[in-house]
Amino acid sequence: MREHEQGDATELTAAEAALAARVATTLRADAAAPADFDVTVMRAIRAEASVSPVHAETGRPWWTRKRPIALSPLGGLALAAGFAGIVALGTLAAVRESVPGGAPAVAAAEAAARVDTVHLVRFVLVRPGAQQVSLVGDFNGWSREAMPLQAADDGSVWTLSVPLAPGRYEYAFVVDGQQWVADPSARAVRDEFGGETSVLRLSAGDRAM
Amino acid sequence: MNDLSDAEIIRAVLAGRTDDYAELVRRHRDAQFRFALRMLGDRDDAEDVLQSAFVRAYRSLASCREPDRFGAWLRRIVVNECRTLGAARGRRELRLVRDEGVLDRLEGPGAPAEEGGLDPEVVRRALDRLTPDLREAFLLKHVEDHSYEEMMEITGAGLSALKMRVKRACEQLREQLEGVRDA
Repeated sequence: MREHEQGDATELTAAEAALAARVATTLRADAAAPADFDVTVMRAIRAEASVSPVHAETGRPWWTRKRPIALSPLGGLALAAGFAGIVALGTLAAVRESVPGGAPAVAAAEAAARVDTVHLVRFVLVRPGAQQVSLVGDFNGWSREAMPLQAADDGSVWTLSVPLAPGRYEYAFVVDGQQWVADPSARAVRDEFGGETSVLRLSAGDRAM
Repeated sequence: MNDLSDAEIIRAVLAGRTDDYAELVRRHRDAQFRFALRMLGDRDDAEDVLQSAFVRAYRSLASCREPDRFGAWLRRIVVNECRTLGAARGRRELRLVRDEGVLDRLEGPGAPAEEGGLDPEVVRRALDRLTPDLREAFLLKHVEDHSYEEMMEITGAGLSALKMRVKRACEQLREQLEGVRDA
C-alpha cells in the first residue's frame, strides 16, 4: 500500500471530482430506512430499559458483562440430541439467522411453532459439564435470572422455549453465571465490549427473514 | 416531533424519558442507513447493523461526551458495526480488488441513463468492487459529506491515509464507470 504518500498525489483531478459528485448523487437516492424502523428499535430498547438502566460506564449491567471463552468441541451425538428436542416441539416454521459458511453448530435457536404473531422459539445449547445455563437478550433486559434453561438427557443439552413477537432480537447464553456464549448457529454481531451476541429475526409472516 | 436539539433529547433520555430516544432514531436513521446500505450492499444487513448500533448507542448514551454531535458519535458505531459484519462475510463475498490489480470494466464506458446521470446498478456494482477501506472513505467523504477531520475521528485513520483512499476510490470508480485509467 502507498497510503503514506503525501502531497498533491492525493488531490482529486477535476474529472475525478466531477465523477465523485455524480456517483454520490446516485448513491444518495433510494436508500431510506424502513418507515417503521424507529418502532423496531424502540421495542428492543424498551425491553432493555424496563430492567436495566443506562449505565454510565459500561452501558450494560454488571451481570451481563462478558468474559471471553472458548467453546469445547462437541460430538455429533450431543448435537443430534439438541436438534431432536427441536423437532419434538413441532415445526410449523424454522426461523434462524443463516450462518456464513453454513457450518453446523452446537447450538441453535429455532422458531418452532406459531400462534398468530407469536413465535415459540426453542433455544438450545449443548454444553456438557455446565451446572447452569441462562438465556439473556434484549427481550428480557439481559437478565441472567429471568430465563434459565433446563438440562435434558445426560445434562449436556440445555433448552428453553420462549414466546417472542416478530422482530429482531440479540441474545446470548450465560453459562454457570459468568461465561458469555454466543449462539454459534446464529448470525453474530460484535458489541462495544469486544464480545459477540447472536441475532434472531422473526417475521410476522413466519418465514425466514 | 419537536425542535429540541440532540443534546436536549439525550439529557431527557438519561433522565428517564426513554421514549424520547425514538426522535433521535427518526432524525438519524436515514443517513446512517444509507451509509450502511452502501457499505454492505444488502438491506437486511444494513437493518441489522443499524438496529444494533442504535441499541448500543442507547446503552452507552451517558458516555457520549459531545451530545450535540450525536450523529458523528453514532456514525463511528455504525462504521465499526459495518466493518465487523463485512469481515464476517468473508473475502469471497467482498470481491476484493487490490490496488495493483487490473480492474475489469463492468459495463463498458459510462452509460449515463439520463442527462449527467449514471445507472444506479452499475454504480452500486462499481462501489462493491472497491476494497472496504476505499469504499468506506469514499462514502464518508462524498456521499455523507464528512470533513477529513470528522473522518479521522470516525475511522481512526490518519489524514494522509484517508486522502489517499478517497483518491484511489475516485480513480477506480472513474476507470470502471468511464473507462479512464489513471496514468
